[in-house]
Formats: sequence, C-alpha cells, structure tokens
Amino acid sequence: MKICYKRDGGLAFLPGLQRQTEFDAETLDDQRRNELSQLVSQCCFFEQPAQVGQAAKGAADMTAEVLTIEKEGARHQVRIVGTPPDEALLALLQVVRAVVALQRQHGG
Amino acid sequence: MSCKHGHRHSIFCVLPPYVLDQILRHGTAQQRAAAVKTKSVDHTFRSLRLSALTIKSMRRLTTTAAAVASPVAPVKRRSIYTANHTETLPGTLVRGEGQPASGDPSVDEAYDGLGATFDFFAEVYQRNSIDDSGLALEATVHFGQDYNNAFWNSVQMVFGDGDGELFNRFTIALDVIGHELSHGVTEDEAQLQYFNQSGALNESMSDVFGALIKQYHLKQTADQADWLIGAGLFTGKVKGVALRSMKDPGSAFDDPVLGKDPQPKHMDQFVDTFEDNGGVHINSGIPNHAFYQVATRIGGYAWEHAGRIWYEALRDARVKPNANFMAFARVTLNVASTLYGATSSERQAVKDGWAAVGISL
Repeated sequence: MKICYKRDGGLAFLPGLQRQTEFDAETLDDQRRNELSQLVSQCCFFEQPAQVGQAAKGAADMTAEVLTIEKEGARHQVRIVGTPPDEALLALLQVVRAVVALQRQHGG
Repeated sequence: MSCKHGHRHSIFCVLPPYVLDQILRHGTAQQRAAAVKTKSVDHTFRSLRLSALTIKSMRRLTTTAAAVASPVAPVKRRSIYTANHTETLPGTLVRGEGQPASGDPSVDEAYDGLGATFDFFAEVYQRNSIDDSGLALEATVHFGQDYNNAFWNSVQMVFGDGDGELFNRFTIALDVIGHELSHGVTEDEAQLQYFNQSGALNESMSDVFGALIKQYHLKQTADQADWLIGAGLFTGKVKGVALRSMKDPGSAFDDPVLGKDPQPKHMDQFVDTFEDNGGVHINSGIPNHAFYQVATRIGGYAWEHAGRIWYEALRDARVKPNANFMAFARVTLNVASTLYGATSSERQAVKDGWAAVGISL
C-alpha cells in the first residue's frame, strides 16, 4: 500500500511542510503497517468523497491535507480541510501525519 | 418617463417623491394606498442610493451614535478552552474572564494574548473587540497531536502545541495570537476574500496588526521593533528566526527540513501559484514590506500613524472583498491625505512605501 501525503496552507506555510511525502506501508514496522491497513478499511477510504470539509467564510490559516492511497491496483485521493467528522478517517490522518513527521526528521 | 414594469398605473414606477405626495393629497383611496406603499419602499432605496452607504457603514453609524449617547467602556470576555489533544472544538473550559492564571503556559499565554489584542484595538483605535460590538473572545489550546499550526475558524482561535522538534507551542508568540484575532477584524470590516491578492492582503493585515500588538505591548518604536512574525515559534533545531520578516521578506528562515523563506518583497518577485489559496502566505510579503517601509519612514510608534492609516483603510468602504494590492494602496494614500493632509509627510511616506515594493501611486 503506497501512501502520499501533502499539506497545504496554514499559518506556518513553509516549503518543507508543504512538500509532498510518499511512503510504502511495507517499509513500516508490522504494528504501524497493520494499523494503517485497518484504518483504511474502517474509514472506507476508497469510498470517501474527493473533498471532505471546507473552511467557513472568514476562516483563515486553516490547512488542507491531501491523502492519496494506492492499494491492490486501486488509487483514490481525498482532500481534507479542517478536522474530518469521520473518526476513522481522522485516526488514519493522524497516523499518516506521524509517519511523515518521522520521515522528515530522518531526512526523508 | 416610460415604465418598464408593465403595470397599468404609473404609480408603480419610481416617481419623484413630490409626485407621490400630490397623489397622497388628491388621489382616490386606491391611489393613495398605493402611493403610501410605494413611498415607504422607495424611501428605503433612495436613502441607500443617495448616501451610498453599505449595511456595514449604517451599522457603524448606529453603533457610533449609541456609543456617543451612552458610552460604555469596552469589556473583555475571554474564554480559554483545552482540546486535550483531540480535534474537538471548543473543548473544555479551563480559564474564564477574570479567573487567575491556570499554571498551563498555553492557557495563560492565550488568555494574556487575547487581552493584549483586545486592549490594543480598544486603546489605540477605540474598537470594542473583533466586531466593534464587544464580541466575546474564545481560544482553544492543545489542539490535536503535535499540531504545527494555529488558525481562525471564523468564530474562535485555535492553537496547536507544535511537535517539539521543529515548533514550540503556537501561543508562545504574541504576534501570532494577534494575527489570528485580527482575521476576525478583517472579516468584520473589508471581508477580504481568502485567495490570490485579496487573500494576501488579508494575511498581511493580520501580520501588520500582529506586529503592532507586539510593538504596543513592548512599547517599541518602528526602529526598535524586529518586524518578525512568529519569533520564538521555532525550536533551537531550526535554522530560522521566525515565520516571516516584514523588514526583509525572504530572510526569516533557511533550513534543511523547512526549506527557505519563499516570501517576495517586491512585485517583480510576485509568486503565481495555485498552492496556499494562490499564495496568500507567500505574497503577503509585499504589502507587509510596504507597511514596514511606511512605518519606518514616518518613525515613532508605528501604530499611531502608519497603523492608523492601515486600520482606517481596512474599514473604508472602497476596499472591496476582492481588492488587489493596487486598490488597497490607493485607499491608504487617500486615507493618509484625509487624516494628515495632502502635503503631509505621512502621505509621502505611504506613496514612497508602496513604490518601494513596486506599486506606483
């Protein structure tokens, strides 16, 4: 399962934070890999709409996060603005953020 | 005058008021009833058209008249919540107005920062909170997990703790707190659309007032100020001093992980992009630098003259939600003339300040 993550916008709009990050779940440890796989299923990621959430009028400095997942020949992209109401999708996002942050720390 | 509405009676066209008055005096019962109805509707539209007032301006007049008749001192009403590292808003209330310090730095910094921002707008520009009508101020801290951001969601401020690797907590910088709250002021006034140049102006307004709030708190003149936005946000591991520099856009950071500060300081360097709503956090460097130029040319405390010009321009009905840099710059020049005179040094400073970033007035 290949995952691609990109963040856009935000008060701290910095090139390094906006850079698209890709990783293969196969390169992660078993626990993390299984966690991601379960969350992708639980949130029915491949059936999520292309856009989840939108900024209210007058809102500012909110981030948008674009998650693209390829699994078993299928590919789907979801753009998430703000906090997704789907708890499983939020949990998936949080795990992906953590993996991406770790990769950045190690120069990925 | 031909009537385009197709009704039989000419009374249903827009007639001069004195014609309607004649009908009221001499018409039939049916004609008089129609004239009364027409006159009341027509009066509303004439008033709006003749005065060219927006609804916002009318509300301001009403508010001002009420304040003159019964002056009420602005009163802070702050509520600080914790999201307890979830993304649920507003979260749990931890400190209300007048309550003592909580001991949680994020909570107490948010409380103090909201207070400093409120006091700035009240004392310097006689503005009663974000909406100039005493709106309660709410902020949530400890939002999310290792959350590297702060934002205004249109009703409240939200602050992350940062990841501790690249970022400290986002309440650590007073100008960031002022920045977020100032988005509410902009939304209440010009409602600058959050994309492309109007969005960059929106962002710049928040940086301008965020910087002024910090300078006012520290009682710094324009020459003494560092003109940095978000100083203290980065951890010691980052090669950078702040998120942005109004004095020297493009110089705030250059880090192996975070990249280089992408802000331009001149229209020649304007960034055309689809990212970041058309680069609202990137191209804000240009109006930011213009303000820095104006403020340092005038000298003294930046909130007194340069800040006053910018604030009154933001409230000016000529600044539309889709205003670009040039449109806003023109209004600032006109406001400077109105406030300080057509031959004033302030007006010249505004002209020269915008010229320094490639906008000729």
